[in-house]
Amino acid sequence: MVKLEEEVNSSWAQVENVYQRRADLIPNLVSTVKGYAAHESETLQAVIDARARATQPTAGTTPDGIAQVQAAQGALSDALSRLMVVVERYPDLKANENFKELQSQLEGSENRITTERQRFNETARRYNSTIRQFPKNILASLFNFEEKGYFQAMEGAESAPKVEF
Amino acid sequence: MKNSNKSKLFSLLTLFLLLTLSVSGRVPPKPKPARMVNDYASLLLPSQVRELEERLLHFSRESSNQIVVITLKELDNDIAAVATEIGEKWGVGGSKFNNGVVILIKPKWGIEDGQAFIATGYGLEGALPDALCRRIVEREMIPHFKKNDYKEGIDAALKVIMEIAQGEYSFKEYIGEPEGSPIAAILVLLAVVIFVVAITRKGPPSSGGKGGGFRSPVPFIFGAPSRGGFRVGGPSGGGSFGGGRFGGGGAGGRW
Repeated sequence: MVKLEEEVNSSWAQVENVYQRRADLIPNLVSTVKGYAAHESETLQAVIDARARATQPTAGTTPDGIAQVQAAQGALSDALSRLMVVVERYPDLKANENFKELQSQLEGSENRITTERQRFNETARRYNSTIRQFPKNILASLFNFEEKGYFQAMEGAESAPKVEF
Repeated sequence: MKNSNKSKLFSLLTLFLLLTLSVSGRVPPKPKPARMVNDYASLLLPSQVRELEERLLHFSRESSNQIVVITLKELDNDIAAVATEIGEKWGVGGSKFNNGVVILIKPKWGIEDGQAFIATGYGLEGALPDALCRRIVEREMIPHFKKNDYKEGIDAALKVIMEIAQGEYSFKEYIGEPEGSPIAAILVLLAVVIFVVAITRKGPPSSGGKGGGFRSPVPFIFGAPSRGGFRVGGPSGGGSFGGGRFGGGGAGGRW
């Protein structure tokens, strides 16, 4: 059980890594967009705010903790999607090499987030099914092995804010 | 102790989880023995498949980097997810360096766009970052794929990928950063051409001028792996995938 919990923790660390990777792209993204679309300050500010909330310390891998992370990161995904919709109105920005590069990095981090979340769910599943089985469940509650949460699938398409040109 | 509500919730969660997991894409089964070219969409002639297979096996043995080319007529999930899953499930690349690449191509047919994706194992994310993969797909593959020249597009992309994966030159050079001293550039150009011809005896000499610029020549004339590429010599088990892992890195495009 300890080993399984360690697996959960290390896959959780991976999830946090890739979320951080996405968060790190945002300052550059915001300043690039600002250069072309200075009037879209509301949309940009929404992204900045969502990022700030998403990069706050997390509450761990319990069901509540995961739900919290999913909500905060989901809000950031939404803000980014709205930003991408706005960007559609600025062909010069869309053609800018720096922006295109940021965009592929952003898509890359979304792919990584999807991958690591799926793997986390797998480790959580293995852990949870073990701690619920007799006789391990007795040991589990004795030593306070808590149930882990899962990432839920998003409604509709996966949360990646993709832009088609 | 757990009450009945909690266990109901748990079974609901499990059910939900199983549902979400089952959407994660059915990838073709891992070929046994390992096969580098998997042309399920029949885009290549048998002779082309054979030649490509030999080239990729040779590359795998020489550099321990494993590149898998796979074509599929249909995708039941996002192409990035499918390519990553193939790399992970098949274990493309060595387990020590996670140095695998999966090139997935879905041809254009009917009303559907063609799509291509280059997925990189954890260990090659440094040498082949996402932005580079995107450019390779756009510059090397899509122009050919638009004309249904799948072989040409694959060859063009492989040329770049192989050279970068081995640390021959870096992605900055491919993208085209400003060059330093012109004399150094000429010397380096010569050295790279000779070096690459020596290694890849089969293929044509490297043009070397893809990016239009070169940085410090010394490290890669002597083929130092410090560029982030891998050239671990020795056999990598010609008939099997090494168990390399993929994290979702890479990028692609559509046409």
